[in-house]
Amino acid sequence: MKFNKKLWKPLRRYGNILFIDNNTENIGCGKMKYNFNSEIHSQGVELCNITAQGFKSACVTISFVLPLDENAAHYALVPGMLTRSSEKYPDVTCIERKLALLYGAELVADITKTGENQILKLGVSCIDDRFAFDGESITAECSELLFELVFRPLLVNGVFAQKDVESEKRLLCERLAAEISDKRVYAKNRCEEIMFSDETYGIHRLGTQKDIETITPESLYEAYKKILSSAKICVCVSGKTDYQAVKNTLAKYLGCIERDLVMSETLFVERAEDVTYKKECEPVKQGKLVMGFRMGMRDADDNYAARRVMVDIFGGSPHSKLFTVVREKMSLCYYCSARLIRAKGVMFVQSGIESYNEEKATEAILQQLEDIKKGNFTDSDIEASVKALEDSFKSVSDSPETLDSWFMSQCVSGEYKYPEDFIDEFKKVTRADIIRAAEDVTLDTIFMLEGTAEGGETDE
Amino acid sequence: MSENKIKYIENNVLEEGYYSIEHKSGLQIFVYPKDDYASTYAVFGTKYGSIDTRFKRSDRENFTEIPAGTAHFLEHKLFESEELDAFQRYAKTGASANAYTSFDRTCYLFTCTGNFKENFEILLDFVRHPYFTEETVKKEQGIIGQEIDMYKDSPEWECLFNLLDAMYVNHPVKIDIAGTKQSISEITAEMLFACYDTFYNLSNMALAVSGNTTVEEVLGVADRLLTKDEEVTVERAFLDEPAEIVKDYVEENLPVATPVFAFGYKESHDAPERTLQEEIAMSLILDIVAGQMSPLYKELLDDGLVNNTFSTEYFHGYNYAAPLFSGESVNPREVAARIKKAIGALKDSLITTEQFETVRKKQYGKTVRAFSDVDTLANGLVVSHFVNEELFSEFEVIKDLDLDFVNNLLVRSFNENTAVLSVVCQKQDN
Repeated sequence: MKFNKKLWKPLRRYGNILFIDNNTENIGCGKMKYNFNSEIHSQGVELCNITAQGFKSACVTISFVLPLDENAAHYALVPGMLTRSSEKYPDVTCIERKLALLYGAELVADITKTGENQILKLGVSCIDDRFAFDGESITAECSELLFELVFRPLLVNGVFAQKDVESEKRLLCERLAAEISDKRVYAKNRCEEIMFSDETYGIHRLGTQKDIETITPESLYEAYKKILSSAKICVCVSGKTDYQAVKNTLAKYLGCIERDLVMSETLFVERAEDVTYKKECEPVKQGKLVMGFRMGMRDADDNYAARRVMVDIFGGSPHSKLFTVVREKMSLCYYCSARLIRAKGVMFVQSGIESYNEEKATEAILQQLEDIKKGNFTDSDIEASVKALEDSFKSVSDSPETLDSWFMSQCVSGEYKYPEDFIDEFKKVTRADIIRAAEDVTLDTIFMLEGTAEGGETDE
Repeated sequence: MSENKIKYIENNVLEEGYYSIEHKSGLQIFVYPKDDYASTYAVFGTKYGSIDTRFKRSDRENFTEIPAGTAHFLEHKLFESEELDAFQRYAKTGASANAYTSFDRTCYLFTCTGNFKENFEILLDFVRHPYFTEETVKKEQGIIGQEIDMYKDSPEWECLFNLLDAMYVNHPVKIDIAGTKQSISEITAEMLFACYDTFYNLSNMALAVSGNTTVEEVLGVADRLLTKDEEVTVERAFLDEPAEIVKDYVEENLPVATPVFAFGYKESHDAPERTLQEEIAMSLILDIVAGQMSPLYKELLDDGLVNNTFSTEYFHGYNYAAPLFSGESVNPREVAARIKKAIGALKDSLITTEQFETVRKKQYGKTVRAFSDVDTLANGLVVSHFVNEELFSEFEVIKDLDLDFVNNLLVRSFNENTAVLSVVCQKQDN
């Protein structure tokens, strides 16, 4: 299709932040008729199945839930390693060729952090079998390929191949480095690091460059074995696929692994004692201001609906206070938005500002929160936020991939809820609930990245 | 008043189709219903992008020249009205709305899972009712000035525009979509009204709705809100672009950990736009040359020269075309040299049937997939209309493409004399 997303220039300053939301809870289900089932396969292994009619694609994913700890870098290297080679497909060219022949099937390897858990997710998504030229089953071959990559890696003398390990180490280091180059991400990461310096949550999902450098083929293979034996494992099959066949294949691979499940519990800090402030300078044009707040939550379900609606009114959408007042009316920020991290009970406000506006912007942002505490918002604000949330939660049912993300984002607890369950809760939220939710919020950390480059034209 | 002309266009691979409507107002409307979807996506676009800085209206004698960045500026301003701005109106009905300006079009869009009719009315209403004063234009100059600054902090964005600047002598594609601080300072309310009047004529626009909707629902609103415009056609008038490049290497210093690069070959063609055949054939060639299953990719990966950001793209539009290779590398010059070598070798050996069939199968799968996204569909319909293609023709083209055509294209493309490398890297301390 003659359509290139890369070269869009989105209109509004919140654009990139508002829509790129990895928040696990940000999607939902609509009217596409689908069924979700989950079953315990064996100790710490769950198998989920999403069936639906009419989808053009299907996907199979496998997620590993691990406690976030000093092994983060080792674990983070594994997905790349597994999707680069295997016993049957010894190099990237072989794997990619196989994927191409499966009508451009796509391989996904993802590393995320949910609360104090590190989640490694590998998956294959492909077009539905009805589009195959010769009646072959694309989906069956894709799930076979996924399990083959995950459970039958290429080994040299009983460990991963040295050359591939070194290459993957470089790639992971460059990924980390890219997060330093992107100042928006960098400022957010720094704020997290400072805010959670005494908590497990402060560990980066990819580990540190120093830790990556210590990895050897032997230590990586040990980490891989530990993942297979100790992680909570969730397999999710979506679209029209032969679920029973997947179940059997999984049993075959897992049958020979001795399992000893390890789970971690996320620490929730309800209130901040005092405010930590940190500033750094960089030769960039736009300054970045990031503020970290504690939400007063005891766990991920603690009054979640009211807090989610409150955060939306505060800084979640184009009608929010941060957008309409701080950005539009006061012209203090280029972008300014708030995001709730449910699995840790915290909220971040991110904004891009002229560095000389730091004080004014900080004050204005905090003032908006005070305004919510005082009840300075209308019923139509509440309505608009509930509608916006309903809208984004509902649209999840439109593809197997979004359904997979929705349900697998809940794989840590294994208590799978439907988008409608949340929508119902949002609708019950009252004005008083929102004020109470705002009153629970305390400012913990401010991180300011001051831009020291000239603001003018750089063209010579 | 004339009637709407409705045509249903079906595709037998997907077993679905869309309605193409010549609306009595002069607007081309498309409706792609997918009744099992929860969401509906609507996009209202004009064939007016950042490259349209010099043009001639069919009812005028002379060419008009406008400052770079005007299309993008106008896009920002259209969201405003005398009372509530469009975002505030959408907030009441629960849609997620946005807009974008690209090189050759400006589009206004929203997606929702309820209240489609109300949201759709807002879209048609605000795009059709411009409102700006000298004062609001002044304020916007500050806001967009900031936006231009922010993009200057983005290494990939800078790298691409530096490449285009080194590649093109005159073509406006070389200028940032938002313009420059200097060019936007020249914009006035009067100028915006004149551009609006020219490019937002319904005969120069298209509207597409996909997802949970029906033709009746769409036309119910459109018939009521859209009145016929006096038909005006616009002629694009570009200064001649020589085949030669400005320079073959350009570098900028920004704080990046790994240098960012873009490498491309400027192409010259007689016809201003590439056909769908050429476009798809070139994507296949790029996949064979440097895609993830190419020997080149493995070699670059093994030698520590690229990472997962490495990608290819056939960058093209009205009067410009260039196959591009971009990514991050500790040694961009070496990457460029290896790409040249790999292309040279492929030109000698030519693409084999087996290679061709493999990438063709992959392309077919990608095309099928693209038809599940409501946003890709609606935008695809608008874009296809602007270049006089039919949305489903991609299936036919993929099926009918032949290896000789692809090899011919390979042999005559990638002229080394027009290759440009753009690098953004950290300043070297001496």
